[in-house]
Amino acid sequence: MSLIAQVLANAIIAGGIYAVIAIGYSLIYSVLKFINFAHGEIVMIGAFIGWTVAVHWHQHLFIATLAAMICCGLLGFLIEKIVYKPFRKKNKLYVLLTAIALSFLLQGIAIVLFGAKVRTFSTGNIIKGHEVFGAVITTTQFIIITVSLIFVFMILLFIKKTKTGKAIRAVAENQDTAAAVGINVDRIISIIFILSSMLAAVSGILIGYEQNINPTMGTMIGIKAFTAAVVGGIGSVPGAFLGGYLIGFAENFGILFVPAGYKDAISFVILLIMLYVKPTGILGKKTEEEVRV
Amino acid sequence: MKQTKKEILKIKNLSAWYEQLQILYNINMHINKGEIVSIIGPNGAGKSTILKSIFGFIEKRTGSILFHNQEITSLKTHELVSKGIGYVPQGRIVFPGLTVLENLEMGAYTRTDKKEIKKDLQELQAFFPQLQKHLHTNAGLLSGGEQQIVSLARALMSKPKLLLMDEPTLGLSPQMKLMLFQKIKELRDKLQLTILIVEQNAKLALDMSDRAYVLEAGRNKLEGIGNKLLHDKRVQHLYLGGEF
Ligand SMILES: Nc1ncnc2c1ncn2[C@@H]1O[C@H](COP(=O)(O)OP(=O)(O)OP(=O)(O)O)[C@@H](O)[C@H]1O
Ligand SMILES: [Mg+2]
Repeated sequence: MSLIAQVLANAIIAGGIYAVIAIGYSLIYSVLKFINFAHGEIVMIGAFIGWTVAVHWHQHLFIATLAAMICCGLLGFLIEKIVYKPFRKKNKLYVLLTAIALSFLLQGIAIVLFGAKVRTFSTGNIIKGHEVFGAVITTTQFIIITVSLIFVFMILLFIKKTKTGKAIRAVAENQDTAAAVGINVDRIISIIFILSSMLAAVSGILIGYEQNINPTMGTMIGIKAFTAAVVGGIGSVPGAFLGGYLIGFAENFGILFVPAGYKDAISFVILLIMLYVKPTGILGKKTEEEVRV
Repeated sequence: MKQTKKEILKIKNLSAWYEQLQILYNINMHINKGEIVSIIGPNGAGKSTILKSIFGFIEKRTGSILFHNQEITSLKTHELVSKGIGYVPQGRIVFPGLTVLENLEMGAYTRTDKKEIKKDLQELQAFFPQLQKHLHTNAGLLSGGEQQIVSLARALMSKPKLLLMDEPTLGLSPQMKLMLFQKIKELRDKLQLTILIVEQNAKLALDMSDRAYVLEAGRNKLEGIGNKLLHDKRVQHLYLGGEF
């Protein structure tokens, strides 16, 4: 019983983090129809900025998170403007290759700045957890669960209700028609990159409280969150939310049945099954040919 | 409605290309305030391309376009909306995943006068009763005719002074076509609109508009008062057996 409760707690923690990252993938995909493969590296950069401010400079975690969000938001903005925008109108393949090159570049920069050494947010002394329904959950883990849920719901609400959120959906559906009602499409694309990168920064810090951080951490976490986004239905923000938790649950409950060494493989098995059963993902729509106006 | 003969739009020597392919050749047109002007011509003549050129959708273009005597040739699409130009694209293009209400709200994207927007929403619903019962339905689920109304109403929400409409009656039944044109005329009078409309059905277009331009292979062919063109031998010849 307490084992199940513990696994459940771990699943919710991991799921929340995946969901926050997956939303970034899906948001960008929804509008630009390409996978921002550098997204995982933004998570990593966010973690390192958070670590620098919180651990190295001994600032409050709130300030560290804010700093990471602002820096990553700016980074996302610049990446889109400088690296992606010139290729956006030309060829999807260029953008894809650029994204892959960019993630290596960001990893390289992180190695130069922070060294390949593993860092940690935790202060060293073991924190005693609280017992909830038989599961032991630390205060930090409570914060992770809450913060990820808050961010996920804020972004869902933002997309659903606000004028800018509706404009994001409009641009995702048809860029020309969006321009035709007066939406500045380039501005919306910038907003999307800033938002997703800010979410990535938050998740980077949340991860930092659960695991060690290092310059290559973005690769695996990025691939898994991307998997979550695809399983949920790439391009759908609520889908990314579901997919994130689904992957979190599958991984954590999966290791009750398979050796823990296979944990990383579980999400990919789910991906394969999903691609076979419903290629568009849980909430994904059939992709239609872009309609020209 | 009597025209004040004030030019709202002027197109001078407009040529346009898709990649290397030239579509328009030195098009000249003007539209006076309050007029309904139609562009007719066979499929592929470049009618839509003219509207797209005005609205900033065509990258490779020469010539100049003046709106209220002001050069707008280099403005971006979204800037043209703020200037007072609205566009109803060919093929009833709505935001299918947004509700009808959200579609209309997006139409008012450039506006900040919340109270007025609310009022205009009410008025449009009264004017197009078919909008009312579907307000919270995703626009993609509506019938073709209803989507066309959404697309038109969305363009009106920006309070345009000049409305560009690309084949708004395409695929509608003959009665619906007539009804829509009557609505368009009503709107022109009610909102002091000026309308440039592309229409497949030459007879209907010439019948309903003040003036018309006949386009052939990307070039100006004829122009004149709608009714006169209707009885012009050359027009009858061009369209004989087709739409008549
Ligand atoms: N996006 C595009 N890329 C390349 N060529 C295009 C594009 N759009 C239109 N064309 C070509 O430009 C020419 C004019 O097209 P346009 O859509 O302006 O014609 P139209 O008069 O509106 O025709 P229709 O009555 O069928 O709507 C056609 O030969 C068409 O094939
Ligand atoms: Mg056309």
